[in-house]
Amino acid sequence: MKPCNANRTCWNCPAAMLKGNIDFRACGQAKEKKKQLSESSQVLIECSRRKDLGQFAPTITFEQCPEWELNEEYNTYMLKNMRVMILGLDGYLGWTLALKLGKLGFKVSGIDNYWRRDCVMEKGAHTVVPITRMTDRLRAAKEVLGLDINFRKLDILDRAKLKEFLDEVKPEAIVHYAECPSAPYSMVDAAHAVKVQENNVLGTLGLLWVMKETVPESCLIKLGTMGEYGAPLTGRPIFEGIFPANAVLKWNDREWSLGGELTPRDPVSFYHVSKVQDTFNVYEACKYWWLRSYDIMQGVIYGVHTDEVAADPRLRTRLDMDEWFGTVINRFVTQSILGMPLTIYGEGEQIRGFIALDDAMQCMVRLICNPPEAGQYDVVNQVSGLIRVKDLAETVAKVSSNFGINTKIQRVENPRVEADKHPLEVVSTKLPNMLGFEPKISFEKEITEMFKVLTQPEIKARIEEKKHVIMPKTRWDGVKQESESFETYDPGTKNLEEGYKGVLHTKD
Amino acid sequence: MGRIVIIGLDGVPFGLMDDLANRGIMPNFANLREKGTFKAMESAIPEISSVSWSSIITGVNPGEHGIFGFMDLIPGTYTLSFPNFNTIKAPTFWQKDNNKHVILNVPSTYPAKPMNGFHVAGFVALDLENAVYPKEYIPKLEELNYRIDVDSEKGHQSKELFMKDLFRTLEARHITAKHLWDDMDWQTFMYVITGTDRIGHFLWDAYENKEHEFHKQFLDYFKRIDEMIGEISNKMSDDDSLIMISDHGMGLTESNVYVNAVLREHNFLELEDADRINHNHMKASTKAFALDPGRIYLNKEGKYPKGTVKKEDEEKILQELTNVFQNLEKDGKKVIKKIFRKEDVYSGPYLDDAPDLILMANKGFNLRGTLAKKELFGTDIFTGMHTQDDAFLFVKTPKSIKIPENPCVIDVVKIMNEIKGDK
Amino acid sequence: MELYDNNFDEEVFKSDIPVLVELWASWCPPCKMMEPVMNSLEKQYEGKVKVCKINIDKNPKTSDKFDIKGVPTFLLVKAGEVIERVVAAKTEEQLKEMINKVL
Repeated sequence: MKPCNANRTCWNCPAAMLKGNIDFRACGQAKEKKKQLSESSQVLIECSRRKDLGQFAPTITFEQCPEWELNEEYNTYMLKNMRVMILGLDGYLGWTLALKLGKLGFKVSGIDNYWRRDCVMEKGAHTVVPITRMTDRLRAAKEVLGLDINFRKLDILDRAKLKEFLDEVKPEAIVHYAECPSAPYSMVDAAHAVKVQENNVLGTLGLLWVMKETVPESCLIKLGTMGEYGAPLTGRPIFEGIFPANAVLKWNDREWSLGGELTPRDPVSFYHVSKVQDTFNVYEACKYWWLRSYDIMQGVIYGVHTDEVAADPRLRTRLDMDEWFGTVINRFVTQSILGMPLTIYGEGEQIRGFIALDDAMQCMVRLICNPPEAGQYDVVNQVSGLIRVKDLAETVAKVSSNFGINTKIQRVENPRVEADKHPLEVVSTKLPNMLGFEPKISFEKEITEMFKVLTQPEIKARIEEKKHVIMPKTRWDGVKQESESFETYDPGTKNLEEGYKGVLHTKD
Repeated sequence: MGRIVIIGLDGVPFGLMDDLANRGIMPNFANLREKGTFKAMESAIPEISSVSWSSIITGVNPGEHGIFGFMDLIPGTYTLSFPNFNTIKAPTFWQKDNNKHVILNVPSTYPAKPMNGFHVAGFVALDLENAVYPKEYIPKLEELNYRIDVDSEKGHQSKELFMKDLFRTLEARHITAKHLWDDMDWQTFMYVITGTDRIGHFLWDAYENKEHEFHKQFLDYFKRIDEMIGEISNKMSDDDSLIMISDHGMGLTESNVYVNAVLREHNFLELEDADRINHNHMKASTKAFALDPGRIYLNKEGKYPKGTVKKEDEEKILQELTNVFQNLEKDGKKVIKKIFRKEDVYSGPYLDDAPDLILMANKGFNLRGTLAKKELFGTDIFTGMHTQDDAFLFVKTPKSIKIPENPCVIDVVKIMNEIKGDK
Repeated sequence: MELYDNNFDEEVFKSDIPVLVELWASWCPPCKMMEPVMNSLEKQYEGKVKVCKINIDKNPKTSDKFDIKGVPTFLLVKAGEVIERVVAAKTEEQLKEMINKVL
């Protein structure tokens, strides 16, 4: 099968120097006189990697260009020695991605201000999988995987230093993970809410200005979240950020095409609001400055395993279990190991999109290798499966029994303000069809792997140490108290037939 | 002292200089002519400015500097590229020694690179920003209203506006040249005027036809250039040397010859859809295609994405092509004067990138490499075309040097070196 | 059908049958979303109306001629004349209405 990006051209490639060669204008503005060859009146560019070509028409395909090499494993062309900068390189996803990219031959650089480590300590928790200091991590990456990662301790809000770093490295893609990802954290109090929005929204805004000045041809691959969309009770489908052309608005016997407009956002916490604001800032920057970006509406992430992080104990990535930073599946597994019943909120009828760690990494690699065209803001729904929380608990319980653990499930008061029972129909066609994504990891597979790792004595001990941070105490209404438990039941005893089932569309 | 001044007049044939000197239109040049050696000079093959100037400034043939035309296909693709100063593979004379040079408006030297002295690139240059070294001179150039090139669009719209633009560009260039002359202590000063090529293409018939409405303005343009030559010459001292050159000649176009149309007619070239003009639309069955002006490339297997010509078949196809073009006639006149194989005219490490056949046409026939035309012959608004054998060379030097009997553009650097006393 | 600078005039203004052409840009989300609709219309009107599109950034000569102020811009052309010109994403029904006017 032909690699999915074989026919992409210079228009997509970060090495193509469009600025100064192309007349960019937003809709509705008067055109300026273009700078171009008078002979041909054609669009011509120069290539920052192949200066010896002179000026040429941007029609070389990835297949034809010697700078793009075919990677057999992904069946995708990859830019040789592509410079990728990861913002938030120390994090759960950042570190994992750094190793994956490094192993594939990318030139990895990145920043972090260790805020995640601080936040988790603030909670009185720690990562259940032990991780080392950054200097040790980098050294291990070099020893074990032969990687040279160019890391700098930096806060994204420090625009001057960020600009300096970007100027030095000139990344061809920027993966933006440098945001606080916790909904409960943003709901603790005013100070927390403000801090989250300041870091997330203003951090991204500053980044966009810096990108425009230093690396406007680079693609911004930004982590958003499925939570931006909310879960409309009408059950209307969750499109990939933008309405298709056959979406029609009808009103008073009149009709309009909604094609190309941003789909509604209905965030479910102040953290989710920050992601929505990011979306608008990025969208605007693409419009004004011809930046290009993928907004990744990622489902709930879970898991411990990639080949790279498993290669050595010093290379492990963090796993959080507390109510602020632990994601639901990660929390369920730790709860099970603690002998606690799994806490589902309310009825547990919430349906969410999920994606396992290695699958998410596969998606990121594919996105990095398939930049959109200049000025294009694109959105992908990055999920590999939809599942109801209630069903998820059953699955975790079932897997736990393979490890000799008898797990129960308890329903607790939902600390969040959200629709408990709602339909969910998600469209996720770009990753599988345009980018060649094939999920490789089922719920059962990764959860089994998680049990294997987390039941190891050293890690189990770490879990036990912090069992007091498990129960949700952060409520959306601001009242600080632990969620009340309604009932505890054995897996397999509830009616799972009733209620909504998530619907995931992956075919074009 | 003992400095070298080179004045380049793009596209000016020996015959024109000679004629205008004789008729008193260019008295300063007529004067100089008596004091030096004035000869016809062979241009590069093909006789295109980008190839010729590259040969002039490096002193080597395209097989060594790698520029074979105004545009080329990027190997491994069918994408057209326009080679620029980043593409050229041999060093220029000003990159080879430590002397200070002022290089003004040499075509195909964009983007400008660091060197000792001053450099502003000539066409094709996208912007002033990257055409000047050192960048500190940009404000001054803007102040002097320096223009890199004439606006050719005007030539298509109105000859009147075009002539105005020609003169304006010429003046700005000359004022800049004079400023730079006094501004630094240089060893070599190279000053090229490119408007001459533009006027030649658009208005050659205005020169040949005395009744033409722009005949007088054509002569006035050269008169002004002669005044500038006079000014420059007067600023030189007796131990300085003056070299004047053109990169190719110019002559009247009687008919364009669309080489790709010929190739199509004889089934060497097959295009997918007749209306689309893009080398990506060549079918795999294509055996040969042409690029401006008369460069023919075999669609070799391994060299191009849809290349199908095998090594063992190359000779046969080349002979078939030679046969076709040798027999090509229009109104009883043979179109092609000479057909070269790449080894005949090039040597060096870039021989593989060279065209497989190079056509040289008879007088009046303007070879064109466009894919758009289906008819073999035609005309357009351009009345002047490049000629290969009558560029000119003029050398006036106090040193005793040997000037080749039949000079060609590659010899210019040799002559400069001899004047400098290097071997 | 994708058009380019060098065949736009021929395909649109010298066509025997009416032509609906969309002028689009890759940075324009509504333009990108119109693709399936345009493809569907192309099939539906095959032989009767030519449905095509042209990218304005990659084809500066054409976009220059039409003074584009917003994308997507739809032109309905019959016998070399621009019958109608509209801007913004349209529903399939709305485009069909437009086309039916010239059939």
